Amino acid sequence: MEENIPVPCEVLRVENLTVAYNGRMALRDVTFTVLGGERVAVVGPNGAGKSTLFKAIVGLLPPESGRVEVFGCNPHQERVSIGYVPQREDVDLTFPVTVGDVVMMGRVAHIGWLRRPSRRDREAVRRALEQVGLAELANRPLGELSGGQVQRAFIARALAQEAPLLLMDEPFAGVDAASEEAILGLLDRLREQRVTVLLATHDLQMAAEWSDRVLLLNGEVIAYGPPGDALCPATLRRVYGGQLTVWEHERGAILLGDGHCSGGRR
Amino acid sequence: MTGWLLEPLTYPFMLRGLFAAVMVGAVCAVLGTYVVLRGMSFFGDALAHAILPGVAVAYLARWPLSAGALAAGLLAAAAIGYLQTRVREDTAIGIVFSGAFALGIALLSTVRTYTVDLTHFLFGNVLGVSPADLVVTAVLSGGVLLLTVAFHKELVLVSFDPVLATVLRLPTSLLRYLLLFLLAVTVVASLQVVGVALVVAMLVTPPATAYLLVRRVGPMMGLAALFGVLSAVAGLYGSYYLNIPSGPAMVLVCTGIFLLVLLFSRRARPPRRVP
Repeated sequence: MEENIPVPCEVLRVENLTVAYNGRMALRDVTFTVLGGERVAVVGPNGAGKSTLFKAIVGLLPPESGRVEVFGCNPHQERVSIGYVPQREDVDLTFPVTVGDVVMMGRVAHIGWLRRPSRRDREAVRRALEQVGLAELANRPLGELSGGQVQRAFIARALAQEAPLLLMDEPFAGVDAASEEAILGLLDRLREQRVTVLLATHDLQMAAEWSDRVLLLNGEVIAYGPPGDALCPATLRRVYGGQLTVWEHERGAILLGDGHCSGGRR
Repeated sequence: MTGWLLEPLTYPFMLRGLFAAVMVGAVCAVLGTYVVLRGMSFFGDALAHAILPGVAVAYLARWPLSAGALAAGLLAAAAIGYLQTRVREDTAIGIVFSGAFALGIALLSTVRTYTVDLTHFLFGNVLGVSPADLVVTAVLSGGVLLLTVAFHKELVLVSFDPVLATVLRLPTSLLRYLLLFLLAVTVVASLQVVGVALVVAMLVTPPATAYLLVRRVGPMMGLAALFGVLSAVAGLYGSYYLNIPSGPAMVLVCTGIFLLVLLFSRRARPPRRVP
C-alpha cells in the first residue's frame, strides 16, 4: 500500500481584507493564503500596511470588511494561537521584569487563570531561550539587554507560546550582527519544525533569498508568489515608482541571482 | 525604648490603630506597585479626593462611611472614563477630582463640628479607629490582597504589554476595570488611617522606593509592603506622641525612607549593559 503523502494544510487565509488605521484605509481588499510550513516575506515601502496586516491577522485591529481565518478559525472571536513579535519600539524597558519573566508571559494563556507555571511551562521557557541563544541571560533584567537581545527575548516569548504560526514585524531592524545571526539560524530551525513564518521586512534581498513566497504590499496586494515572480521589474515599478531605477540598478541584479551586489546580509 | 514602644499598646484604641496601620500600609503598597508601573498616580490621587462627597453624604445620613466612599469612588471612576472620550484624560481627571472634592467640602461645612471632622477625613485619624472600622478595613484590604494575588500574572501582563494580552485573548478591558475597582477599594480602606488628601503617597512612595532597589515585580511588591508597613507604624507612634494627624506622620516617614534610598541606591545600581 502506498503511504499517504500529507497534503500541506492551509494555515492562514485572508479574504478581501480591508483595514482602516488612524482614519485612513491602510489595507484594501487583501487576499492571500499561506500553507503549513511556508516562509512568507511581506515586503513593501514604509506605510505599505505591513504592520497593519499583522495587527489585523492577530486580532489587534478589526477589519472594515473581509475576513481572516487561522486554522479555519476567526482570530477576532476565538482563541487561536499566533506567535506575534511586534516592532521593538513599543517595549517599556523600564518595567521591572527579567528575560525569563518576559518569556513566561507567552505562557499565560497555557497556564490558565488562578494557576502557577507548571514544570512544562518552565521547560517551554527554557527551550525558547535556548533557541534564541539567551539561556544564560534568563535572570537578567530586561532593561540591561542590548537592542538585538531584546528582540531575541521577544522572539523567545513568541516561541514559548508554541504557536504553529509566527508573525515577525521587522525583526532585523536595528539589530546587532550577533543577534541577526542568531535570528537567521533560528528561522532555519523553525523551518525544520514546520512552523509557518510570516516576516515583514523592507529588505528585498533578504525577502528574495529567504522566503518561499513573497507578498508585495502597497496598501493592496501588488504581487504574491515565489520571489522570482513576485519581485520582477514590473511589480517593483508599481510599488517603488520613480525609485525603481535605483532598485533595478542595485537590487535587481541580486533578485536575478547575481552575487556581485550582495549588499550585506549573509 | 521598648517601654516607649509598648506602653501605648496597652490602650485598646492604640492596638486597633496598629492593626489598621499595618493592613493599610501593606495593601496600599501592593496595589500601589501597579499604580507606579502603569503611571496612574494622578488617577489614584483624583480617586481619593473624589470619594469625599460620598463620605460626607454617608456621614450626614448616618450610613456606613465606607459604603458612601465606595459608591463615590466608583462613580468618579466611571465619570472620568466617560469624560476622557470628550476631553484629554488628564483634563478629565482634573475636572472630576476638583469638582467632587469641592462638593465634599461644601457638604461637610454644613456640619457644626466642621473643622474637626474635615481634618479627620482629609488627613486620617488612626487613633480613632473603632472596632467596626477595623473590621471594614480588614475585609476590604483582605479582599484586595486576595484578588491581586489571584490575578497577579494577568495584571502584570496587561500592565507590561497590553498587545500580547490581546493576542492571547485575555479580557484586557475587564482586567483594567478590575485594577480601577481595586484602587477605589484600597483608597476607601485607607480613609480612616491616612485620609483622602495623602493616600496617594502611601500608594506611590513605598513602591517607588522599592523600584530603586529591585528589578522584578514580585520582590518590588514585597519590599514596598515592608516600607509601607514600616511607615504606617512609625506614623502611628508619631501621631500618638507628637499629637499630629496620622496621615502626614506616615507620609513623612515614607518620604524620608524614599529620600534615604535615593541617596544610597545610585551607587549600588550602575547602568550595566551586556557587551
